[in-house]
Order: sequence, then C-alpha cells, then structure tokens
Amino acid sequence: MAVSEADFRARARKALDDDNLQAALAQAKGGFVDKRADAILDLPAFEQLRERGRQIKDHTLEYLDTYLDEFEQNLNSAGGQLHYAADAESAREAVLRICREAHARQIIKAKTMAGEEVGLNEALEAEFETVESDLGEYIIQLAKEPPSHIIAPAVHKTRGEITELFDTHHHGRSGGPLRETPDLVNEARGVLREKFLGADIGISGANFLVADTGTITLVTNEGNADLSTSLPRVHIAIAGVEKLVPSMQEASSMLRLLARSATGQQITAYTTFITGARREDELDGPEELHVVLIDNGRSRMLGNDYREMLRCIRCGACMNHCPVYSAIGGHAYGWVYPGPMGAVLTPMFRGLDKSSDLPQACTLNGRCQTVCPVKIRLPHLIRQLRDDAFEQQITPATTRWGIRGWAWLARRPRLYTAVTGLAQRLMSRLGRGSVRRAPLAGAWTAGRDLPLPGRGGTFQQQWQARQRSGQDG
Amino acid sequence: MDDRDRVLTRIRGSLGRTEAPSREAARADLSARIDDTPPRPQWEATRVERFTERLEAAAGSWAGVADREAVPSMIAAWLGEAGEQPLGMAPHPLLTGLDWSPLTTPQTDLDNARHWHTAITVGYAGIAETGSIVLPSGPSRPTTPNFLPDRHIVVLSIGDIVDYMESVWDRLLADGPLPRTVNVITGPSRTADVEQTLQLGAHGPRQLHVLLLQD
Repeated sequence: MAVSEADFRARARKALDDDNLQAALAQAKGGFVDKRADAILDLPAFEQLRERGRQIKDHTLEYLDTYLDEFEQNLNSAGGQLHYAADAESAREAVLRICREAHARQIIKAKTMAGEEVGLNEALEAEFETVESDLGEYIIQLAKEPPSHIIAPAVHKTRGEITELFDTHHHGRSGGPLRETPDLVNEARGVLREKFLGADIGISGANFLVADTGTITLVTNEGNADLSTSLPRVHIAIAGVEKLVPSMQEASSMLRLLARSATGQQITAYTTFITGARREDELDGPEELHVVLIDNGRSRMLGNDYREMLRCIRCGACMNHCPVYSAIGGHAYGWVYPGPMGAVLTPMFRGLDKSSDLPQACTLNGRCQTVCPVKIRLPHLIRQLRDDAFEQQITPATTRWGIRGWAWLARRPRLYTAVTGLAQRLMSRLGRGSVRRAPLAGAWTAGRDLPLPGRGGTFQQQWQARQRSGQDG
Repeated sequence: MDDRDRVLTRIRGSLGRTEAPSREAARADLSARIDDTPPRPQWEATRVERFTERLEAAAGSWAGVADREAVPSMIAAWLGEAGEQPLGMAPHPLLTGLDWSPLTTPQTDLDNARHWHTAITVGYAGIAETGSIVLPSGPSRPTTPNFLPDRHIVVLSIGDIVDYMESVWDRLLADGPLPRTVNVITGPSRTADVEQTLQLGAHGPRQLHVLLLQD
C-alpha cells in the first residue's frame, strides 16, 4: 500500500482531530497492556526468558549465513523450494512467477507483514482475485487502507465503520443499523469460507523459520492461516531472512515470548509448524510449498549500528505501550510498520531522508524497551537516528543552527551561567505564574502555558544552593 | 549473480567473512549463550489437572472416558441433537474400528469435509503447560478435519500428555523428519478484530471438546 512517509506532522494532526479514530484508539487502549501484564504472571522467570530471547536472536544473526544454508537444505529435503529476493520488486516478481506457473486464479492470504512491506497485495490484485483472510486484514482490504497495527490491523476501525463496510460490500446497501460483533464475525466467516475452498494458492507469512528442520512456524487465533495453507494446492510463505531460529527447542522459547508480548496469551489458539509439501501417503495438504526469503535492506542492517533491530519478532508490544502511538494510531507513521519499531524500521527500509520525523515523534520514555521481548534498545536506536539525521544534514537548518548555538554556549560555563542568569532575571520580572505565548517557542506554547521562573535563581544556582545546604538527598 | 548469491554475499559481507562457519561452530556459540533448560511456567497441580485447567481457560471443554468402546456414546451425549448433522472423522485405527451406534458411522471421505458439522480426530499428544492438543499430519491424521467443521472433538490418551512443547519435538524427531504440518491447537478459533471484543468461531471450529481416554 503506497503511503508516503513525508508529512508525518500533517497526518498526526489529522489523526488527533479524527473522532472515529480517537474513539477506536480509546477502545483499544489498555486492553493489550493489561492482558500482557496478566499473562506474564504465570511465568515469574519472564525476565530470564527475555534475556534468552535476546541471546537466541543475537546468536542466529551472528551465524545467519550458516542457518540460511541449513534451512535451505532441510526445506528442500522436505519437498519445499526456497527463493531469495534481494529487494521488494524481486519479492513481488518471485511470488507472481510462482502464481503464474501454477495457473492461479484465486488467492487467499493470511496476514503477512513482510508481504505488506513489499507491496504484495497491489501486485497480486492486478492479476488475480486476492482475498485477505485474517478478519482485521479483510476489513482494511475492503476499506482499501493499510494496516494500522502489526497484529491488530483494523484496530482503528469502529464497529459502526465495519458495519458500513460489510453492508456495502456484502449486501450493496448502506445506512443500516449498527450490527453486533458476533453477527459481523459470522458474516465474514461465511463469505471467506467460500474463498478458502475456491483458492488455488494460499499465501502466508512466517513467525519463525527453523533451520535444522526446515520448518515454517505460523501463529493465529482465527485459524485462517491453517485454512489458507492447507486447502489450496500451492502454499507460498514470505518472510524476512531474520526470521530464522536454530531449532524447534529455540522456537518453543520464542513462542512463549511472542504470545505473551503480543496478545497476552500463553499460546495462540493455533500454532502451526509446516515442514515441506504433501507427502505421498497423505490425504490432504498443498502439493507445492515455496518460501520467499526477503532481504530488502536487512543485510545492510546486519552490518551497521542497527543490527539489534533485526531481533524484532513483530509482536507489537512496543506500540501498545507507546504514548505517541496511542494518541495518533498507526496510519500517521506513513508506512506499514508503526510505533517505536516503525520509527526505526521505516528509516532503515525507506531511507532516513524520507522519514526523519519518525524518530522525532518519541518521548524517549523507554516503555517500549522495557516490554520488548528481545530487549531491543529502541530509545537508543531512535536517539541514534536523530544523531544520523543531524550528521547527514537532514534535520532542518534552523534546528541544526539552534543546536549548534546551544552547544557552543554550553561548552563555555562562565558565559552559559551569565546568559541563563540574565534570561532568568528578565523573565522573572514579567510576573508570577505563566505566560501563554513566548517568542521562538510558538509551537510549544500552542498546546500549553510556559511557567515563569520564580525569583530563586537559575536551575544551576538553585542546585548549588541545595548542595551547600545538604538538601540533595 | 542471482538473488540468492547477491543476498548471501551481502550477508557474509556484513558479518565480515566470505564463507559460512560450520554448524558445529554455531552450535558451540549457542550453548555458550543459553542454558539447556529454558525458563518455563511451573505448577503444583498434576500434569492432567494443569492440562484441563489451561484447556478450560482457553474456552475448550473436556470429559473423561473410561475406554475407547465408550467414545461413540460419549460423543452422542455431548452432541445431543447436533449428532444428527453430518459427522466426519479422521481415518485413524482408534476410531475406524469402533461400533458407532447410536450415531451414524462418521464419514472419512475428505471431499465431503466442508459439509461436516462435527469432526472427530485422535490427538498425538497434549501439552500440560498450555492445555494444547498436538495433531501432526499423516495418513491417519489429515489436516482438514481440524479446521473446517463447526465442532472439533479430539480423543486423547491421558498417557500422551506431556509437560512442555519441547517434549513433543523430542518424540516426533525420534521418528525421523517432522511431518508436513504439526497443528498445536489450544481451544476453539477466536478473533478480537472487531473493537477488541473476543468472539469465538472466527474461521476454525466454534467449539473444541477433548475426550481424555484412560490408558
């Protein structure tokens, strides 16, 4: 889905003014957070498990070439075929080629963020009837929108909006009464059942790829990935090269982290391990299995300061715990990956020059890092991206000169003390309380008042006075 | 250079080498980093109690059954009037050899599976940690019955319940490469995609019922 990363500010403003979106975000708020907090109570050693997750992913990335070779060999011996894709275009081409060679007409898709990343749907829809089967993805496919959350793609939609979409697309009517959740879910079940049964090709993502067995791991709660990957005659899985883990033992640990961090479950309703295509003695299952492994910038990240971002298992905990995401939703971020992980991944995959506002849209409160199941230092990476933007002169010139000026002053303690002391005395003469507008801080005072300093001196003067009088504790 | 070579060359370049280290070197690094036993939930209850407690927490239901001959009557009782609707079963020897009266004998032809209201299958293992059923695909365990019908009934021997998922892999891998698919199923299908409201029966079965068979 083509959405531009530029104009983040305009989209954020629009999101804040969108009553429907704010209602949907309010509905979702807290749900994910509370469920995760409850789920880790059953596992007091959750912190040790996070450390294990970090080690497993760091290790796999350090030996990624070894594990990719191993995965390919084992996938081949199980009757599957591996296709590498260097970039998004090559990934789309690989999938299209497989579909054409299989003489496909109808395609059923389970949710895949890697597919979203390479713009797979638009490419497929031009040639084949392509239907998303995850209920959330189906809803946003009808609405012709990109996902706004990596595990709850339609979290921004209210029941009223979903009623309207189903009335329009399933019944050709509009303006009907608000429908109940079971009614909407049942209707989608009925419509999509026919699509599962009619599809020639099922496309899925992969939550993990297991090197020493050649296995694809898929988690869902709806069962849509299972129907998508077992009924059609061809199954195509698309995934980033970083999805590998060494063996089923490590996959089991990672699944404990993923379910708890993503939906606050101990395990999803369906956790499925696919190893190759239909065997000779089997009565069902796809005749062909293709795995498309995408690079699309990942090999570059492996060699730069952002390697740890490749540990990401796409659980969404960082965005669930982010105050900025909770205020503006996923679409404001402009591309498929929103929230803190998106603020790092979008600059990596699409270029920092096109998305330099994203690392700025962060309070650096650190909650994302605290909940990340693989301990990615998201605030550190976001700060690093701000540094990069400054170094590469992507940060606007006025901001850069402002920062330079401040740095020049801060390196001269006497002058700094004199200047801040003067400013403090001048401002304290303006009166008590706060002012509604201040020069050079119009954006800041647009949303709040600027408190005026008291007559007790600058911060440094007050600090020194406290130190002297022993009030520092 | 094709995409495979291009990607692998870039990856090796970023890792600062031209050839991949051996499997053994990789495994040695991994065992230096992590303990053999992963952090996992612990419980005081018995294995079977933990299994049934987690199964119920996931909205699944269960009943104990004394011997396999009692399976059809247990199913008939649980289904009630729904027992008159089309029934299907996996072609598993534990099921195909049974006398199915008072029900009509369940069908095994998968071409009809889309019309089955209820499917009966045989579990390979249960996982106490999560209350999950393990169904590896194979001639006696096709995949379709696990997902298409409205109701799914799984017959599971109590002795096949293990504590953790890892034990399932040990058992399966002892028999050779993994089957085409291993379905680990925990309760009925569900979705929360409409306003974060949990709704059962999204695409898979609306109900999951486990018959725990005494050994």
